[in-house]
Amino acid sequence: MIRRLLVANRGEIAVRVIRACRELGIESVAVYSDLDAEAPHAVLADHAERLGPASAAESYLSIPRVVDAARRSGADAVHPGYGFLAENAEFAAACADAGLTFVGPPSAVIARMGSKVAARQLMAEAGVITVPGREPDNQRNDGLRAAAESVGYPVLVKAAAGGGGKGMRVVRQPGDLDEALDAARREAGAAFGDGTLYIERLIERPRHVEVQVLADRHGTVLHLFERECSVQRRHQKIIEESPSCALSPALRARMGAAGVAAARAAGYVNAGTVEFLLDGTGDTANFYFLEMNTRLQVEHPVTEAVTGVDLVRAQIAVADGEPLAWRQEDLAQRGHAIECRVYAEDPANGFLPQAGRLLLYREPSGPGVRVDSGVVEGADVPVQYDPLIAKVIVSGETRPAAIDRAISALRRFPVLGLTTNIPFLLKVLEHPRFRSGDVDTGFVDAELEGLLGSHSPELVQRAMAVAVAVAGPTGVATPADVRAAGRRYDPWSSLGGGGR
Amino acid sequence: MLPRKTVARIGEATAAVELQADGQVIVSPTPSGDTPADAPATYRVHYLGHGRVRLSGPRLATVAYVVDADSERWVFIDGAVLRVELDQRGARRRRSRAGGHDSLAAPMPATVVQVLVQPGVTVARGAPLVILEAMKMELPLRAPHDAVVTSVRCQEGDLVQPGEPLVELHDVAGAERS
Repeated sequence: MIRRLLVANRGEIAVRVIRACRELGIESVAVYSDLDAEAPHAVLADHAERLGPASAAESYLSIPRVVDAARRSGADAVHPGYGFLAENAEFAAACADAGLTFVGPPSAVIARMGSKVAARQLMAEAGVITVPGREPDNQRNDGLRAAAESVGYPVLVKAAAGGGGKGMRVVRQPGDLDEALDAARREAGAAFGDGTLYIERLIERPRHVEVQVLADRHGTVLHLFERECSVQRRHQKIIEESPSCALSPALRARMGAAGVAAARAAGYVNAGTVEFLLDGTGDTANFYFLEMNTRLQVEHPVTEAVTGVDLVRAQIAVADGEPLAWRQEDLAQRGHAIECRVYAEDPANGFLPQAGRLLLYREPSGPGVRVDSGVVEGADVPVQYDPLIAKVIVSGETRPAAIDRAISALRRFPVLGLTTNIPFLLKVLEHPRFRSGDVDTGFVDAELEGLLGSHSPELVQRAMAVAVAVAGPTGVATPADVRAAGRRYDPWSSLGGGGR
Repeated sequence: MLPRKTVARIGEATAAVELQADGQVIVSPTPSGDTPADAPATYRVHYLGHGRVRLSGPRLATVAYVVDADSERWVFIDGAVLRVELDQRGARRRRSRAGGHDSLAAPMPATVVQVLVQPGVTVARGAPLVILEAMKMELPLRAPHDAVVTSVRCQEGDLVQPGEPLVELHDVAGAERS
């Protein structure tokens, strides 16, 4: 039985796990860097252990420091959250070596699924389709041409050794192939010292649809349906939802089965996510394995909202050796849920991350509105870590109702003093293409200009009127006023073990 | 305490804002260039405390939020965020910028991956000047206004700290004004 669990993370996900511990009667141990000594997660947990200085490498990313904190605190289990060490096979192994129960899959599974090549091969053996691709032994143009023919046009020519778009070319017809091959080979050679090329089928305007899986140690593997995460910027998700409006019941069943097959092939235990690229919609669509995330996802609350399953609770039960409490037929999607990720970033400036003080920060609430966050008013958002400050998860009876609810919640989520993407998220939710479900992973880039928008003259006048609002002799709220208000309204101070 | 009459500015838009004793506010936009000004609008504002403001007007009733930051006020209305400069503070900033120099710095510790400009080059507002990499992302540092690059103080591969000037600019519009 897990009695004391160390949460090897910070921010909203650490708070999420600590809350689950509280409900389960498990003592929680937070870890913190010097910047986070008074952060909500550190204050909320039953115990808190310092890891080190602000830099992630010397705190949340340091395996020895985290394991040492677990030993010092007398913890018997570790939950890694997401990011930081969550998909680090060495960390999972170090926990096991230290006699700590790791709330996640075994180290070997993390390592296997972390290697793109090994994961693809494993999926091919399990009958889960990956994006068709070839790395022919004959790397001359005739060999690569044969590979392109067998993969099927349009194709993507990629450097086998690299990433980051270097050496990458889109070829739509056979006549353009030679030129692309020569250029890609040169670029790949210059960038990676290896001109080996890989030919992959180009999936145009794909959707990102992923399947949540849960597996216990007794051989049961279940899927908890899909999440669609096609609204992305910089290849990072910003809005996720379930169900996906691109899936028909038959396609949903096929994808769920593929998710389970992938998890079984991997020898998976605990909560994980199988990511797919979806080409088309409805019964005739094709889907291709992208990768498996061997951890809890940022967007897990969307699945919790539609299935009623508490994923963190399930993770802890599985880690404790319990069998899963459901059969596949017990699980169903009910209603519609949408998550909006609130980032400290400036969409008008290339989504540049922002750091600074939250002079005013008031979370929305109401029926069907859940906010997972790891910040409080008056706190600083540091430059050292991920700029995610909160997630707003709404659920409604239907997709249109959920969209309306998300809009209503974000319109009542004032964050001032630091630029956030809240106005941008609203533009996405209000966009006719999003409303009609016509999105793919290129949506944000294609619609960027309209999504950035500008303020109407009427709104500008209103803002000017608000700016001069006066209350008594001190005028409007000053930062000091707001900080004082922030302390008075601090929802964490009444829960935590002091320090504030 | 603000004077009863003040000038407010949001981006390119300016307006005379008159606050009356009963909480009525009259916002009269000033014309810019050839565009005629929008008609004055009258609102009622009531400060509720803790940054909350009741804003009402014809077909309008909402709670907005306001805080005073260094040189401006941040306003939140129904999901939109606007930054408002008021009277003297705005004027001071304009003066200091007119014909003046700006230096741009990294917002966080970052690595310079690409320098896109050389001294003497004229750049338009929004043009990328330097590409930084931080938190595994490429971040462009852009020109805040039309300007001439006067010096570049970084090179590719440099590890830079926040506040360290990377590019210095001479304000084109300001130079024309002065």
